[in-house]
Amino acid sequence: MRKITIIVLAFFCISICTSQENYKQSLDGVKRVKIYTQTNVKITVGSSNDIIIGDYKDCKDCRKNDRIINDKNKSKKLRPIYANGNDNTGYGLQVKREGDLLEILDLKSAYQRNPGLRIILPQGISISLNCGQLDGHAVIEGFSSEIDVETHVGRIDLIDVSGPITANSLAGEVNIIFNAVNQKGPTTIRTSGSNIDVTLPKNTNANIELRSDQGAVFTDFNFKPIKKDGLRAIGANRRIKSSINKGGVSIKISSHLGNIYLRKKE
Amino acid sequence: MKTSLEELTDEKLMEMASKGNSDAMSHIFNRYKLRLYNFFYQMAAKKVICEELTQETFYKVIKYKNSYKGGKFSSWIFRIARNNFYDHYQNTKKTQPLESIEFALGEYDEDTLDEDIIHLMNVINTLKKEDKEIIIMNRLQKMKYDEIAEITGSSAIAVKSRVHRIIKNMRTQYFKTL
Amino acid sequence: MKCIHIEDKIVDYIEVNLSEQEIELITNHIRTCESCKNTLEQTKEMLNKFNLIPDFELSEDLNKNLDEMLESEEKLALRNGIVSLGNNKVWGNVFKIAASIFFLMFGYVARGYIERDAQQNIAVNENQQRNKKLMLGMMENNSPSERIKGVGYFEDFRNPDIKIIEALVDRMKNDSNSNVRFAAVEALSTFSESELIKSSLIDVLNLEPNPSIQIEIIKILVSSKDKRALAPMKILLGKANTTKYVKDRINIAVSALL
Repeated sequence: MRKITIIVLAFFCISICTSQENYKQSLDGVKRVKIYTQTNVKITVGSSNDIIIGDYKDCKDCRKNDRIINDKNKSKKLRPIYANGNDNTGYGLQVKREGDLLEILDLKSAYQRNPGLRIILPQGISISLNCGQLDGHAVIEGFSSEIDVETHVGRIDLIDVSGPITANSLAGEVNIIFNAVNQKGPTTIRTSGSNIDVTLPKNTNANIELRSDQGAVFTDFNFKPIKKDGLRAIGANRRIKSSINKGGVSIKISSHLGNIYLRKKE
Repeated sequence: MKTSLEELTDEKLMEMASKGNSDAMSHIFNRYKLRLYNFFYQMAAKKVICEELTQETFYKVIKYKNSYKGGKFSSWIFRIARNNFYDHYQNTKKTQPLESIEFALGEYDEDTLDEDIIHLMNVINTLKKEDKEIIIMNRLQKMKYDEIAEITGSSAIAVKSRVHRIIKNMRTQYFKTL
Repeated sequence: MKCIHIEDKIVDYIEVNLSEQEIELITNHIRTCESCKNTLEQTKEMLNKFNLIPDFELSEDLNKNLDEMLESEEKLALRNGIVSLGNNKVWGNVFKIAASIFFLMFGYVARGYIERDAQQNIAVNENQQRNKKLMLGMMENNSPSERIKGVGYFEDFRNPDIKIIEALVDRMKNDSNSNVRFAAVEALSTFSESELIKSSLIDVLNLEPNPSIQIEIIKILVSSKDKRALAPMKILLGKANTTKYVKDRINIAVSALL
């Protein structure tokens, strides 16, 4: 009896005492969620048709910044205001709904948001994530829908995804593990200064284009040059084009300085 | 039902076809496929190209069926055919010289054709394409002057006098070299 | 009546397309004129030969293809009925997607009839019109992958019209997603001889922050040997936040252009 009471009490406390621990919003009628933040983000699949945004407490490799402690007494009767928008959530987020698109702008600075945002979304929702101009990194797991993610120098880890993927990082390492490849639309993965490591199921049907201006390209797929250009299998632009298996959707991976690793998944 | 469709005019059939009656469209196809194919073949006897042009013409008939506004149907369909021919001509002009598109006698089964006929086809072949198409339409496709005028954007009188002039020139050539 | 006049009317005479008077006149003349008699006989003979030119049969293949075309037309007529839901806002996007799929599918069906020989160029127009509509629509899409797909259709156009080029330039300059901007640059590079495109690339070089795209543009301008690229490249060289490898690339490019 007592155990249950304690648990129930604890639950209440969590809801009341930490009322701004997270932000929750129904995603009825929403097909795509767009998130802009300056911090680290992890997104995983949840079971309800809501978006739930909380603190990224279990982050193992989020850089710990110098602790800025907000003294709650000092701001007791005040409310936070932001330069880049209006908080309509009570969580430092500005949320705007436009048709089937939900746009979320994180108003807090990277330091204020540290260690990051932990987001839960339902399966099937398209995701657009931009981790800003500092070192925010992105981890997204388990989605079969379209993902578009951009970071500056933070890494991008996409695990157990199906695409289409549009990924870009200036200098963050990109790691993507596909569990299947959706033929719906092209995938493009680009970095300027960092390596790209992509794993595809071995029976994927796709037309692949790999290019690194100054780095090296490695793969364990059998590359058959696409006949269209004939001579351009390894061309003046150092583009390596090939179809795998029966050919299909376009997957383009390119970097200026980084290496490209394209792996077969058994 | 089918017999009554067969009795309808081209114009009536096409009107029905443009409203979605696929039986009517099928009849249109049957009535014109031989004519179109032969028109193309007489213009430039390359079997593969003629097949493509024929298909392409019918494809456009389907696609633009709603733009058929009830005029003389043969003029409408031949206008499409003729445009296709010249479009193709335009596109291949860069890769193939004019001459090679013309009658390739080798395409004909020479055994079954009379020498005279072959000779006539050769003479037709020497005509410049504006004259050739008019002769083909009038003499081979049996189209009237006013029909041809509609298709080529000319007048019946101009077409007629042109046809006569062409025949006059052809006669000289035909008998000179026979 | 002079012989020259007769020759002009000989076809009408043969086809009995003249007034009774004229026919009589000509008949009388021919009776006494060997040359005109000859003209008549020869013209008659030749016109008869026209009737002997055989009709050529359609091949089985052609007949089959035409039949298939008719079948598809039937099915399409059915689909048309469903797709024309259109204007209701709730169905708006569903309609758009269905319409795109519809167009894409009809495209594939139609392609079967149209594309055969390796050497023929027929019917590019049809697909071009369809692709152009698709393309312009796709480039407005919320999904960057769809925008990139739309940009990708550019390859199908041999003579893209100004609207399409402008749409691509717009994506190159204004798209929020750098992969889309990159794709637009790549697409436009296939027509790098165009003045409009060259000057757009130069404009973009002044404003584009992404180093990979900067380098891509520099490569294109260098290969088209356009010296106007020197000015913006020098500006980039002078900026503190230009990445080092871009600066290296610019130095190489500058020597190539001078």
